[in-house]
Amino acid sequence: MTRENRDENAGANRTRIVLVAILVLLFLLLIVLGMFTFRLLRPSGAPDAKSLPPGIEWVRSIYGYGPSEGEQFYRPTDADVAPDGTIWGVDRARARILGFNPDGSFKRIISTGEATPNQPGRMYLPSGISTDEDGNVYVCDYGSEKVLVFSPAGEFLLEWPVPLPTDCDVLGETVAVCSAYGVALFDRQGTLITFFGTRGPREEQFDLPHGIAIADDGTVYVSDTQNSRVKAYTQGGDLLWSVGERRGVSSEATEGASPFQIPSGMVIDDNGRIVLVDPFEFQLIVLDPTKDGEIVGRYGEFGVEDGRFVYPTGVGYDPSRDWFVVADTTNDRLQVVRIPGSSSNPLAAVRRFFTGPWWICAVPLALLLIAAIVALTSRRRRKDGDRRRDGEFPSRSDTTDGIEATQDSEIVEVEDPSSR
Amino acid sequence: MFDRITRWLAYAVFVLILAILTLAFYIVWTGVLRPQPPRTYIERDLSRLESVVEAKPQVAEGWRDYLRTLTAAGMYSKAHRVADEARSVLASDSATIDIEEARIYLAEADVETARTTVDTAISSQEDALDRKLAELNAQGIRVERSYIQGGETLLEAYILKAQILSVLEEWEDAAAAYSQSLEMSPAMADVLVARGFVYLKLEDTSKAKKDFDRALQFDPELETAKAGLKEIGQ
Repeated sequence: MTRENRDENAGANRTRIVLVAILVLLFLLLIVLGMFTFRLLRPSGAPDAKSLPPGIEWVRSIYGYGPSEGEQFYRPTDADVAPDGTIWGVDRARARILGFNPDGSFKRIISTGEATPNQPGRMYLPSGISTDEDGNVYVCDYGSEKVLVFSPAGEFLLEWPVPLPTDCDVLGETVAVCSAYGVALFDRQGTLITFFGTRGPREEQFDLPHGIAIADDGTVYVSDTQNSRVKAYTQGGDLLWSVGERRGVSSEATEGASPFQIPSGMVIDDNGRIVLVDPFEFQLIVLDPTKDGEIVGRYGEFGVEDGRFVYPTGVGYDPSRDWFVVADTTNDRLQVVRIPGSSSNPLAAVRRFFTGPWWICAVPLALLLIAAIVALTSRRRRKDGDRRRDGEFPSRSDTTDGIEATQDSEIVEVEDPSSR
Repeated sequence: MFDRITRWLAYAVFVLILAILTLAFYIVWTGVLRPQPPRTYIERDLSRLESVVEAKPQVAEGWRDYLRTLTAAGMYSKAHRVADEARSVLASDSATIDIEEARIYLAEADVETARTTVDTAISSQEDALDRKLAELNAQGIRVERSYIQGGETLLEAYILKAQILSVLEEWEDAAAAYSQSLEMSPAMADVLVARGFVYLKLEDTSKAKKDFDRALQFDPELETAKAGLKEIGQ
C-alpha cells in the first residue's frame, strides 16, 4: 500500500467518524424534538377509549380560540359543519359565531358587535345555525326574531324576519326554520314558501321545537321539544309519522311514555338516519326514518369529562369525515365525536387521518424525494461508468458521447477502502 | 470520491436533517408554541386553577383542587413541586396537602410512600383536632370531634388510607380505616360499600351483607351495593 493510499484511507476513516458523530447527534436531536412535539400535540387528560361511554369515539373538544375566558365558549347552543369542514359553533351568551378548522384550530369569528336587539345586521340571541352548499352561514336569532345570513368570510349578507326561530337547516335552495309555533320553509333569499303548525300539545301542533333537518328526499324532520316528540312532514306540511308523547309536568303517569325527554338539535347522517340530542338524556339518539322513526341507538352519558355530555342542545354532522359536532352546552364546549353506523364511505377515514396541517410536512418530504431520486440517478450513472470501464458493454465513446463517458470513468477511479 | 459506507452515512445525515426540519417547520408554522386554548376539560381546569394558585391563596382548597387536577392529568413531578410550594405558603393545614401528595404517590404506584404520607397527615390532623378540642373544652364548650373544623380532612385521610391499604391487600387494616371514617360520618353509602367489599375479601359475608344493606338504606339505587349483595348470593 502506497503512502498516498494510506493517507486517503485515513482521510476516509476520519470522514466516517465525523459523519457517525453528526448522525448520533442529529438522531438525539430528532428524538428530543419528536417528544417535545408529541407533548405539545397530545392534550393532557385526553380520554382513552375504555373510559368513554359505549359507542362513543371522542375525536376532540373545542373550548374556544384562546386561553382566556372571553375567548372561550359560554353555553354554546348549536353547531354545524360547512362543506369545507369548517366547524361553526353558536356562542349564544356572547352573541357571536366561532369558526374552527377540522383539526380544532381557530379559523374565524362572526360577530356583529355588542348584542343588540332588533338592529339590522346585528345578532342578539343566536340559537341555531346551519350552512348551505356554498358555505354561507344561516343563524337563527331567537332574541331579534330573524334569520341572518353571513358569507363564509363572515360578511353579513341578508336577513329576514321569523317569529321566535330556534333552529334551521338548509338543503339546496330550501331553508327550513323551526319557530316556537311551527315550521317555515323559505328559499335562500328569505322568500316564504310555506308555513305549517300552531302552538300546542296535540300531535299536529308544536311547542318550542328546537331541532329541524331536511332529508335528501325533501322530508322535513322536527324535534318538537316541549311535546317530547320527533315528527316527519312532507314539505306541504302533511304529517308522515310521529314518535313520542308529551310528558306531563311532574306526572308519574306519563313518565316512560316517551322515549325522549326534550329532543333538541338534529341532523341527518351519511346513511340517512336521524341523529338528535336530548339534553335531559345526555345522549345522541339515532332514529331510522325508514321504520317510522324507530330508535336504533343511544350514545352518551352524563359527565364533565371529554366524551360525555351535560345538557347538549345542538348537533352538526360532517359527512366527508363522518363525525358529529355536539354543542355540549353546560360543559361550555363543542365536542367532535363519532358513533357507529353513521357512514359507509371508506374515504371518510382517509380524510379524518389527514385532518390537520400535516401538509406542511409535504415540503421537506418533497425535498427528500428529490434528493433520493438525484442520489439514485447519479449512482446508476456511476455504476454504468464502472461497467463501461471494465468492458462489460461498449462505452459511450464507441457510440455517441465519448467525452462524457471518459470523464465518468476518471471520476470513479478510486479504490473502495471498504474492500480492503 | 467517497466510498459506499461514507455515502450512505451522508444520506442518513441528510434524511435526519430533513426530518428535524420537518418537525421544526411544523412547530413554527402551526404556532403550537403560542398560548393555546384548552383542548380537554383537564386543560381548562388546569388553566383556571393555575390562575387561582398564582395568587398564592392562604386557604388549602385552591391548592388541593389544583393538585387533584395535576394528578388527574398525570403531571406528577409538577404536582410534587406545587405541593412543596403550597406547604411553604400555607401557615397551617398542611395535612390537606399531605393527603393530596399521598394521592399523587398512589397514582404513581408508589404505594408505600403514599401510606407513609397519609399516616403523617392523619397524625398531624389528629394532633390539631386534639388541640382544638382541648381549647373548646377549656371554654366549657362540649362538641363532637367530627364537627370541629378540620374533621372532614381527617375523614378524607382515613378513607384514602383504607384505599391505599386495599391496594396493599392489607384487608384487616383497610377495614379498620374504613370503620374509623364511618365512626366520624356513618351515612356514607359509598364507604359502606367499600368496607363491605373488604369484608368479602376477609370472607366475613355477614358483615359485608350488613354494610351493603345499610348502604341501600341511604341510597336505594346504589348499583355497587346491589352488585355486592349479588356477589354474596342475596
